[in-house]
Amino acid sequence: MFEKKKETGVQRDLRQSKAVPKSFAFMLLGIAIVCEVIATTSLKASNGFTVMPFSLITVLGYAVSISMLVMILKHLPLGLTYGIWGGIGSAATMVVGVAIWGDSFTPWTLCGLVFIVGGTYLLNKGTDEIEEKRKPEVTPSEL
Amino acid sequence: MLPYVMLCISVCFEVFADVMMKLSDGFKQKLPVIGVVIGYAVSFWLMSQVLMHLPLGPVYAAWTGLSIVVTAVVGAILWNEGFNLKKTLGLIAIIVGVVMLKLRV
Repeated sequence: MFEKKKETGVQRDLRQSKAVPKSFAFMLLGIAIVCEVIATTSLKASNGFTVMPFSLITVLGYAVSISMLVMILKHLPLGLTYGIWGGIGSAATMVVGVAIWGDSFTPWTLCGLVFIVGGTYLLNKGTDEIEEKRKPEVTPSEL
Repeated sequence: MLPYVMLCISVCFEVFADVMMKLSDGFKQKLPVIGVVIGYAVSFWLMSQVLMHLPLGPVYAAWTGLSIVVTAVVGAILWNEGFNLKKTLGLIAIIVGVVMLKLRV
């Protein structure tokens, strides 16, 4: 897998310096989405901010989620991050709604989930390709 | 008419908050963090006003969808994030999916 083509030291340094924050950023994005889903679910459970514990969880959840996004955006493009956060966040909230409150799950819901997951994959792949294409011309000037 | 205008302004503040998030460079810059808080506060307040006149499902679908599009376009303009076929199709698919979920057809 790794001996496919020989890379220069500069290329390796660039790959390693980028590879670590990127997977780390995606992990943070996962946590940000989980916090957002917990916050949104608590928002409903707080019954218009009248149930104190759930109101606190809502505020805390959004605060953590948005703080995570700030850290993530240092490493990932804005369009990609917001697209995934908004899309997967909505999808996960929907699934939680079905599981906890018995919200209706129609064929349309399933279609919506498939579109979001497929769209996230394409968005990610497309963004990777844009960055890949630019790498050769970026490398020399960055040194 | 007015609720629709307020919805658009709400999206603008939301995107403003996203841009501030990126500008704060992982909390290194303090001023944009205040921008994030103000942006979200104004955006949510406007949404609460819009929801007095329009139903939640379509409003939330439009709000999320518009925010994703505008944020991607603004990211492409300000940070040269670029567009290609896959990225565009991916964004469209996410928006279609979100609209399907929120409209609960």
